[in-house]
Amino acid sequence: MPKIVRTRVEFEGEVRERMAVVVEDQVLPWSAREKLDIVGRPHPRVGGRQIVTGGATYTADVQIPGMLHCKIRRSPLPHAEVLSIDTAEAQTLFGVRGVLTHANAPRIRWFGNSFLFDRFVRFEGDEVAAVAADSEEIAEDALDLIHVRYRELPFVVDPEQAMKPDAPRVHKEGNVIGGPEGDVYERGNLEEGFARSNHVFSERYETQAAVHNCLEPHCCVAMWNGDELVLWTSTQHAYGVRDGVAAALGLPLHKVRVICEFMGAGFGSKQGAGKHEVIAALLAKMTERPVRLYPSRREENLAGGVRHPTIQYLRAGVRRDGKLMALHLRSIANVGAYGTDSSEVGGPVRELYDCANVRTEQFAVYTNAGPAAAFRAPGYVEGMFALESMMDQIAYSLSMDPLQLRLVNYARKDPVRGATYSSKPLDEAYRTGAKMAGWNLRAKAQQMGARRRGLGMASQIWGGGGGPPAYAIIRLNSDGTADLVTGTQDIGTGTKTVLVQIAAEELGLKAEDIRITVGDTLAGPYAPVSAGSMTVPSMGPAVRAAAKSAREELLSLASALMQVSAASLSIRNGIITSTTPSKTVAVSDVTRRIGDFMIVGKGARGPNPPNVKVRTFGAQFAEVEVDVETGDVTVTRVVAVHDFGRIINPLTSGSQIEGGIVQGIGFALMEERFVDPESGTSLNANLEAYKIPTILDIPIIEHALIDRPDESCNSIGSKGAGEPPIIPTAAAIANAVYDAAGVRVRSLPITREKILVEIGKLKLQPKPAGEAPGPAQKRRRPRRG
Amino acid sequence: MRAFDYVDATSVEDATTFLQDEADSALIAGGTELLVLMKNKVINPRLLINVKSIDGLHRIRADGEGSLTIGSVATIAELGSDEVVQRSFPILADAIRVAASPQLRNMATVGGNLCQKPRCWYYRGSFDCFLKGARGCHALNGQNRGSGIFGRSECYAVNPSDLAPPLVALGASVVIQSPQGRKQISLADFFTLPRGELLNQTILGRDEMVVEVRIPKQPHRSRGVFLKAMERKTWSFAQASVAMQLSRSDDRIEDVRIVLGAIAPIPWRATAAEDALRARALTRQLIEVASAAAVEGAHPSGDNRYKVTLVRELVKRGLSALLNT
Repeated sequence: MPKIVRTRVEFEGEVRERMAVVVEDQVLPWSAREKLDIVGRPHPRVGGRQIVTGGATYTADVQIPGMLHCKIRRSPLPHAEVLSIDTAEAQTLFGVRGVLTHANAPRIRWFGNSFLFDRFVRFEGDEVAAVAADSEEIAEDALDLIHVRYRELPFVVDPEQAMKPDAPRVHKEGNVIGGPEGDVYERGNLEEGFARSNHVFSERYETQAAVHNCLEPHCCVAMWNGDELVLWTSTQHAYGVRDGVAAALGLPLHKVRVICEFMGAGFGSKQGAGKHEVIAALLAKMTERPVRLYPSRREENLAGGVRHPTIQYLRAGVRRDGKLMALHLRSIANVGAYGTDSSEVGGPVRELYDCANVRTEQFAVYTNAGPAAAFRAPGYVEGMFALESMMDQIAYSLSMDPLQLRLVNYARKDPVRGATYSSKPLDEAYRTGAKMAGWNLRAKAQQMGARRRGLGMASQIWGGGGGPPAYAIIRLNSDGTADLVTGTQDIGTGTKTVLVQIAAEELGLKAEDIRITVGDTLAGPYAPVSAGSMTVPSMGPAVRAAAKSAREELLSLASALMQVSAASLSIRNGIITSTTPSKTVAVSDVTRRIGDFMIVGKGARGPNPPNVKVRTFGAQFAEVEVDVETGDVTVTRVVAVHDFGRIINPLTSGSQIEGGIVQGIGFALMEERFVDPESGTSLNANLEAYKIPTILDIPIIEHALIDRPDESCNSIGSKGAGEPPIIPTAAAIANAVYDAAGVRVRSLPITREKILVEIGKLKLQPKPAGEAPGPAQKRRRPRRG
Repeated sequence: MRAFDYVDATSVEDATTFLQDEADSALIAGGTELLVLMKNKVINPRLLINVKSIDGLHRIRADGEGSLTIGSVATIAELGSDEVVQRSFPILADAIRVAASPQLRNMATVGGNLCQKPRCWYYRGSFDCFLKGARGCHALNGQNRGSGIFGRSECYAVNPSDLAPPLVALGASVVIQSPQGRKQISLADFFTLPRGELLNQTILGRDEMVVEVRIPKQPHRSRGVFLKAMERKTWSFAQASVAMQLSRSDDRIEDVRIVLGAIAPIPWRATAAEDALRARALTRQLIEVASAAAVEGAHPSGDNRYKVTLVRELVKRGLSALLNT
């Protein structure tokens, strides 16, 4: 009998309580000693050949006869009132089939009190009108024929300016989300903590707006079948898009089908329905033709989301022996015109170290810049940069080994709730990483002319436990193959591969005999958003439960056919074996015998364990070379050690680590969206001026996985791997830069300009007597704080 | 992009006649620059004149006596793989190796590279500025990390060409043709500070086209260096670059050209540094003097201050590399 329980689900640093319907017959976790054939082994990517040969059908590849192309007219101004829109000329352009503006679109509420097409535009790139035409080129030409009259309004793009009471208001309710107090967390007694500290450090950190730059933009194709909408879209949450689009259009849920079979990444920016999907659906309805919407890279960079830029004021009090006595963070996240306050910048300060007195004040502030969106470990990447830069500074200041300082403050229990961790092998990650990186040898100054080599490290903490609801269905075909059907989506991480491995392991079939369906709300039951590193730990157990149910049914049939007890049967490689008496029969023989009577296994993700905290952990060590004369920074090596519980597939988890580090290097050294303060418009919404790392910027990446099942977290013992690898990279690189050049850059990205400015400041300081001159002598470390 | 007509020119005369007849026209060769400007609606020509169709215009010819003539639609990749370039003008080959990406080098042409527009974000964006016939410079008080530190006029945008500094350092000249005829001028004189009515970084007239680039024979024992600093390891325009070519006789520097890239609206001759070096023997001490002289008179405007340090270091490194050759 199913029953309803309450379960705690962690999502991107936020804890949510959910009701979960669970079946009592729980699947027992695979133990650490369990001998597994398929899970835990490298398995080539399901669909990989299709992807690399161009055979995969991405949203952009969907071609439907009669399909129109949509282009969106966007605001050129950061803040204005739309006085009038004249579409007459555009309508007359040959090939234009429909034009949508606030005048003829339904008044659909979008983002609080505004509308799909709002009377006010709040950033450069805000949607003003949309055109559907026979070709993209015609649609684009038509945009120029739409005449919009604006009344320009004062704007603000700087978050600290936006917090002032007299700042221009982006939304009526004020610029600071949740009111001027911000989001406050406190434990212990902060002032007492500082009073009992021997040293107090206080610094300002800044992190930039980084663009997600998914290979595939926010694109979609909308088609109506009678009164049913079919929507192909690039999304991290097919079900979320279904629900959001249905709500916007006033449709019942069974009238919307969302399809996303292959996807070119989201990194957090595609977590639910977007305006573009509703616009395409409305234009398809208006024109009675399928409509394809494919934004340009410029549009994507203007309106597709960015990582929240932050300003962080961090104060730390420590005892002489390095014990943290107090931590106080005041963070300001610029969420742009329509971002949300979901960025937990204070997360690392609250939960990484054992510190009794902590206060975090998080402010999320609207500005007239392009909207922020969750971006791979939102908040934690930014917060970790500040906290781990500070820890490094404290260590050098106290003449302590930075790694030792972290161990002095190691949290055995979750410092926020006092709960025990389901597992916490962070100390092991530190040790393994230190050994791999040669941490203990780093003190030897390495200089090659102006080039100085340095090593830095940083820690990682993040959720990734997943949780219900998540479902899967397995159907056995008469030839012994199986269809695994889920409502999840593979956003490029290898979800399909991993789920097939789990199903094959539990069912005893060969992986190639299982076909998986993802990304179709019509086919698969509910699956959660692929975000918060929760896909594998949510979907994996559901798939395993479905496979177990199918296996049990299969074995009970086999036992009848073989005339042996079901308990003596096992399946491997598609062969059912009985121990006493010794008999074998192929799965296909059993299924063929029952013909079209189908075995259908259904599985659900069970609740999370009560009273334990499920977290992922890790440490990264970065080695850099800094040219102290030209300011060149080269990352020469990154060592990463992470704990994701049981590794299902070392190939896909390795890809996540490498991808996270590559993105982390971009964040650390070069990526930055620039908004012109004078005009409030974006200056580098392209891939020429906005720099992402090239292959030459990527060093040797060495990684190790703890690979130990976390048996209390779920039945497969796995935690998510998507976000953790990007969390410590920038902090580790910043600390390595300090180790190499003696300059601490507290503002990302660490560019040549900033390095040269900091080295210039060093040169101005008087040289201590008895030491060799030079801008960044290895042993001459500036003492700050 | 606005609709346009397209013709294949059959000869240089043909191309320049089209230029003369249709004021709203542009030459197209590789298209790596022009098409981007058109897509961003910075320029909207009615007529595109393809010059890749002109017979022989892509040819690279060595005269066997040390000089080289490069047809203006030779691709940058072709130039980079030319044996004479690699042997006799290595600074040019070095510059090509770090210019753009292999795909772009396969398409982009030498003439197009010399005529390219600045990468200034404001010029390329939807801002009216001096180069577009309006007044003022947004970069001056805006985002100016890429702006110039020398040769300021009414525009602060730097010349982005990776080929221009080494070519000027090699003493190259260009052959320009219009319906009125041909002329050859030094490449250094081809570039000019935009000012007054001249909204461009070159002197190229409306109906003129670059036909050839000529590199003269270098003096005996001439050596050169090209260095480029970027925001990442490859596939970027320069933050600053330096091309230098130097010849010595009895250990004294005879002939020297030091050309700085991406720090002025034109390839910038560091004449004070050259003067400091000429007729002297290259020593560490002299290198310090010359590299300091290279940034004399620099006037950064804000976020581009780092360029002063950077240029000085690049010059110092370039000269140091020549110290023992």
